[in-house]
Amino acid sequence: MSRIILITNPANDNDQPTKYLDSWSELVTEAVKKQKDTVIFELKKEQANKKELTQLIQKEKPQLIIFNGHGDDRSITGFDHKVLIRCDDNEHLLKEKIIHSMSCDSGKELGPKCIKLGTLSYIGYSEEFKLTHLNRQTNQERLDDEVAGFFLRPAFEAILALIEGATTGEACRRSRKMYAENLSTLMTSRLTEYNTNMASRLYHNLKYQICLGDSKASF
Amino acid sequence: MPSINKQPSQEERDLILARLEVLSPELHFASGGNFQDFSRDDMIKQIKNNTKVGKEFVRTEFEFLRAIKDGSLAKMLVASN
Repeated sequence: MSRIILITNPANDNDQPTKYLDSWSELVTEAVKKQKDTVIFELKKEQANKKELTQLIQKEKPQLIIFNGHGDDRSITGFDHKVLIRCDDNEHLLKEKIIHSMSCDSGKELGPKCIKLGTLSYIGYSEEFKLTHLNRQTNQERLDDEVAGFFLRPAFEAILALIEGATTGEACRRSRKMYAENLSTLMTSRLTEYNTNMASRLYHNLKYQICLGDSKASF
Repeated sequence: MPSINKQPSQEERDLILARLEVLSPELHFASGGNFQDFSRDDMIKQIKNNTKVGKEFVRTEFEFLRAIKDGSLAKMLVASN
């Protein structure tokens, strides 16, 4: 049986955070290529809408869903900031799945609700996901953005660990370890033109990363 | 330091502004809720104008400084390694 991943990448116009997430998703596709039994479906730009998400979940039955987008306490959004998943609406679609949600705040209410309804595990953020970057314009420039890397490498580490077969608990541990290492690097760096503020925002992401549900679940 | 919900004083905001002003002007700050990016200079204006974005930026800074002071940052780093 194949392991199936679904990833959403709205990459909205004039929206650097979702563009950065889209560019950095290349790490995910590269990791999938190394796994012989794994298939990935991507809903990109306009495809990242509720209808196509629902159809793809029902048809392909992905065991791991990665949401790259915006969100709030009760929802995750896709292209043009339109809702993909909302509490008390369609969160049942995520039943029996592992979720990684790189969207602000959704770990606060939506995540716990999903776990209550049968989602295996939910990795996300219970407050805003902070990103500091150098406003690069191309995919490669965004991947090479050393400032964004301090924030995105630890965040994507959890996804890469899941693809490699780690449990959700181990995936979170790997991510948190990298957050801590980056934070220590920034706090001891002499590059004051970068580090003084970046450390506080990185600390925020570490503090509010959540891993709910069965920590022994794996993809 | 202010609690999470308490308004920071002018002196406290000035401290954050001083920390921000030494950063590279190349840096941009994104926060999910507003779908916008702010350059360093934009963020300085947001803080000076006491906007929602500016207040959130200040809150994050103070949360970090408080964690250094009360030892919770050190505990978190140890626990995460």
